[in-house]
Amino acid sequence: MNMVVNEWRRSHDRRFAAVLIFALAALSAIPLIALYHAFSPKPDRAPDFTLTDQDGQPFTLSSLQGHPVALFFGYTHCPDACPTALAKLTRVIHSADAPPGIRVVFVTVDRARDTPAVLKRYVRLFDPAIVGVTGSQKALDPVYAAYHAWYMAVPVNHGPNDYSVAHGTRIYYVARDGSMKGFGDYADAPAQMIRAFKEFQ
Amino acid sequence: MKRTLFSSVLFAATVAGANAAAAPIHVSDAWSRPATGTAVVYATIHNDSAEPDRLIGATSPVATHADLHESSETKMPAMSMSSGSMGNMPMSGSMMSMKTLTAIPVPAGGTTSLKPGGYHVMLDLRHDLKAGETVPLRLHFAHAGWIAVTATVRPIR
Repeated sequence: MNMVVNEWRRSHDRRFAAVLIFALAALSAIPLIALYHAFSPKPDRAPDFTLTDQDGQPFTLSSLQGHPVALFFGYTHCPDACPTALAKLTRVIHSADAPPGIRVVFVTVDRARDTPAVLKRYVRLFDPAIVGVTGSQKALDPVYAAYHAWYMAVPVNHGPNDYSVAHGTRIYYVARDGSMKGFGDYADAPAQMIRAFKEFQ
Repeated sequence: MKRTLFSSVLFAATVAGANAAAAPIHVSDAWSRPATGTAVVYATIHNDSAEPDRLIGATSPVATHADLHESSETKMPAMSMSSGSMGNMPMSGSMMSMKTLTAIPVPAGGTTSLKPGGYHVMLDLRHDLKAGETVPLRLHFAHAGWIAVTATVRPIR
């Protein structure tokens, strides 16, 4: 009799344990899913970041909410692509056809040379609506990763501190509400950029 | 200092050697942008002669170095990003890199354009360039020799 009870109890315990484990797993999944949703950025959100602007002040992308924003990754020693992009964006900023209040964020891919002071002299060449940002490698790396911004230093022959940086040429359009609905390229004509600013609102 | 002296001497020597009037190479629309640290020069180069020529060097008193470059855009393969920070947006794009060239070809009877996104002269500046300023340059061609050119610093807009 005792043996039968023990047998029953053992198999009952096993079944209970299995149900308990299953229930716990199911219950713990609920907060896990909630956590996932809380911490994974919304799919159409421009990944936010805080870096350092050309005046050495903290700069947070989301502080530009309310403005149509174009984001570009480049470096001040770039002779061709970066000034071409910023010159066109400057023309766009001042175009009567473009939406008002445009801001441009130029994120350096060359923090070794692009100090805030260097960025300040550089962005001043173009327009006050362009902010140049840099930061520690630790602060910049997640930004490059979040935007899939490619770059690679390429040595040239004039000395150890002389190199060019190959980099992605995408222009990221961030709408007034902080969402990001599309991309352009540095090679786009100013008229295409204006269309993108409107289309990606 | 040595480098400065060298380029000054080189510049003086090439001023003496340039004979732009007789040259079969014509350079027009040379322009640059307001710049700090690094500047670019674009231009249109026409070769009147029956022989192909090559631009093999450049020098300018405003620069410690002048390099011949070609920007080349590489299409990056599309990445499939089904989730994560960039949502479902297509992640194809371009990568811009620069090649330092030893020569830029100018075909016989043809034209080569130095323009944004392609061939250009890169200057490592001694001082900032301002809109309206002019930049004296010497362009060295394999056959036509040294040609004096003046680039205009065009305003951004």
